[in-house]
Amino acid sequence: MTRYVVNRVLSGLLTLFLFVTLLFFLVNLVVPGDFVSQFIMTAEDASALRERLGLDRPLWAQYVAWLGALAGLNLGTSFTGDSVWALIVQALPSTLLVLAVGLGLAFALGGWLGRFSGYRGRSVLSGSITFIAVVFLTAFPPALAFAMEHVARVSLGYGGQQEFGTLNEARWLDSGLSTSEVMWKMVLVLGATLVAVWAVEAAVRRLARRRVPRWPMLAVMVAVPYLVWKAMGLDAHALDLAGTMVLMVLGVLLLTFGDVLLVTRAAMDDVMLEDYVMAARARGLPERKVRDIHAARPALLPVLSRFTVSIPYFLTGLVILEAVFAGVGASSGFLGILEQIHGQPGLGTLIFNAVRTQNTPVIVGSLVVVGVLTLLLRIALDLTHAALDPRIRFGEAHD
Amino acid sequence: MTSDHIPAERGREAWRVFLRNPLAVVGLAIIVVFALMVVIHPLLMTTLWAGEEDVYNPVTGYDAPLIQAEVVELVTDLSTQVSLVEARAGDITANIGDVVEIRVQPAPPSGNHWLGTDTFGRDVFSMLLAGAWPTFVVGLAAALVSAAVGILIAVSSATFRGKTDRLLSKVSDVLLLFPAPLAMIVLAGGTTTEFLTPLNFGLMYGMLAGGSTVAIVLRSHALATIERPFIDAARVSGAGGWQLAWRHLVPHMIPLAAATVLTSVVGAVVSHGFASWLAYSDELTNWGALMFVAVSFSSLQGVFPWNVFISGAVAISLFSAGFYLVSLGLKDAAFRGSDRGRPGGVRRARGRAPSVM
Repeated sequence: MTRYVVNRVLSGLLTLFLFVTLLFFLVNLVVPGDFVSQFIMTAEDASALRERLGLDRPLWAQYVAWLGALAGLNLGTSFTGDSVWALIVQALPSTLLVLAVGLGLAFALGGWLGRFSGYRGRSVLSGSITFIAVVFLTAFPPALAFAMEHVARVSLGYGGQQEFGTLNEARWLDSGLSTSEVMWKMVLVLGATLVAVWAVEAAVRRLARRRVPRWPMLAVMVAVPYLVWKAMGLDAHALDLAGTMVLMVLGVLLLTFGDVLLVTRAAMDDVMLEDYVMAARARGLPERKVRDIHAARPALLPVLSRFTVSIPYFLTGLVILEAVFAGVGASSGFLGILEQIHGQPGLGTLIFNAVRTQNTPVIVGSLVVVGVLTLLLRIALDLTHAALDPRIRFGEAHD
Repeated sequence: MTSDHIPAERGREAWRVFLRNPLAVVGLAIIVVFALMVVIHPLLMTTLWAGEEDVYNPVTGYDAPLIQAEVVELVTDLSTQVSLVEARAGDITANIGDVVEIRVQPAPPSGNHWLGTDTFGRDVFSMLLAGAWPTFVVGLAAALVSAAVGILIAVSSATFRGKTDRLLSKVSDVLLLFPAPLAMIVLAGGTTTEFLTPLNFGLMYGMLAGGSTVAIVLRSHALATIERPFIDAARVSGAGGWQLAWRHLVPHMIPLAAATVLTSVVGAVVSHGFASWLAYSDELTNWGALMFVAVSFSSLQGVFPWNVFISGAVAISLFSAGFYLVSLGLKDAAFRGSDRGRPGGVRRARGRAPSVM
């Protein structure tokens, strides 16, 4: 297993390297002209500027410099003067939080519905579930944002001044923190909790040879971060932020659960006809155990592989939705209906605003970050697959 | 089973399986309706609406209904005048009790305009029909190109194995890091519309998605299929390399390929719509642009053109949903049409319910 992990990570680094190379050459060779050619200036000034920016060096030299900069996490300077890396660091935590919570919920909901409806075979209920899944899967994100906003605001009274869903201005001004700082802390605490829970669960499984019950584990995953934030004095801020991001997370959940559902259901259908399922039933096991343990677990492996190709769609949907909620592409008319900005600006806002202003360094830097995110998700899927597949886990005789 | 190699019989059986799935039939019906829309628009323009070009033209038509409204309040304060919706009367000489005529822009559905008119007075139904063709171009171009690229990569991987397989897998892995919908939206923002016509958009989307998502899905199926006995038989009878791939492997890839690329139609159509909604392109007759106009110029009258926004959003979603539902049906037909219950694998013959309903 260790060898597999090492191999996978190295292979991932190679893929990342090739990706960055391709991106560099696409930007420099496909897009006509270079940075300097868009300005109106005399020929001498232009060549002086080129020399200063290093654009007169041969392409391979620029490429090497680009690689060096990337290694140092220097993604260049945006046309507005800020460092691209700083902009991305500011935008990233919101996206990461929505990714973790939204995708996590989508997998949980989609997986549960897929197991449940796949188990029963064809029925009106499973047909309706499929229909609903497809409706949300193909929904146009701005329209979905609209509809959710309308329902939340009108029917539930969400998001007015001083209400749930808006930041409490006074609290934030007093403490002098920025939303981005707090969100990073939230991300780190959440991440640390997940890792700790996973480690404890693995230890218990290996040493005490029992399974940790699921619901207590979930309760811990929710309670521990909150307690840590409270200890850091950030709990009120965290809840504030969470309130603004509820709609965004819900939107991501709706956009993605359909795909998870349909893929899981297809896999369940295949597995349900296996002999070992019939054997489990014949042994007298309750249907729920047959479904969740004997059928769902083997079905999970091809499902994980299949999700590899869904990652681009999940990420794009998330990024688009987050941008829409943050007001990108909204004119006064749309904003009039949205009535206020929701969610926190993240990677999507950064990318789409940068495209609008043709801010190339930011666009390229963001694409690199998106690529890294995709790669990390993919590696996570592969490692989960390997951990669950005994052929890989126990493949080597001794670690 | 010999039915494997009789295309006609497999086709009929597959069709029957497809039709048994209600959702797939619904999807097909949706696509047919949109195809009709493409045909109906020029027909209507030349028959029903002939002579009313200035009313029903999706780009330049104008027919905002005129209504009579009674002035109930005179607002003299300039700043309040600007913010009051009712201040659109505009006739500053009117007095209370006078009846003025105002144009309703946008207007709700009426007898002449089934979906109403937009902020500029254009007939929404006409704009909706006109937008069907660009969307078909994007969707079908994306589907065909991603099928071609995906099949090419998968079949080459399976036929030649070894280094070719490793190289092509690497290529797919790298391309996967450029999420196809996002990359195309960014590209749309960075290029002109002369360059990124709907056709080009679809083609490039197809190349990106086909090389990544479709290729990865098809590759495992190809690798499994090439192990099957009939391939050995073909090799023994002298087929090798490309001939083997083309005559024996590719036909087995087509059903799964068809099912997979239809899902990338969803991505292509939605990203094209979103790019237009952000006004990254200046096409005038696609649904995304329709919604962009609704969103941007609603403040002309302070009334949000719901009829326009909802029509555009529903059109995009319904169009994609149709293709997605058909792909669900095709996945069934691909594997239920023979007695194989699973891609590339040998299974006992058994009756089965469709995998998704």
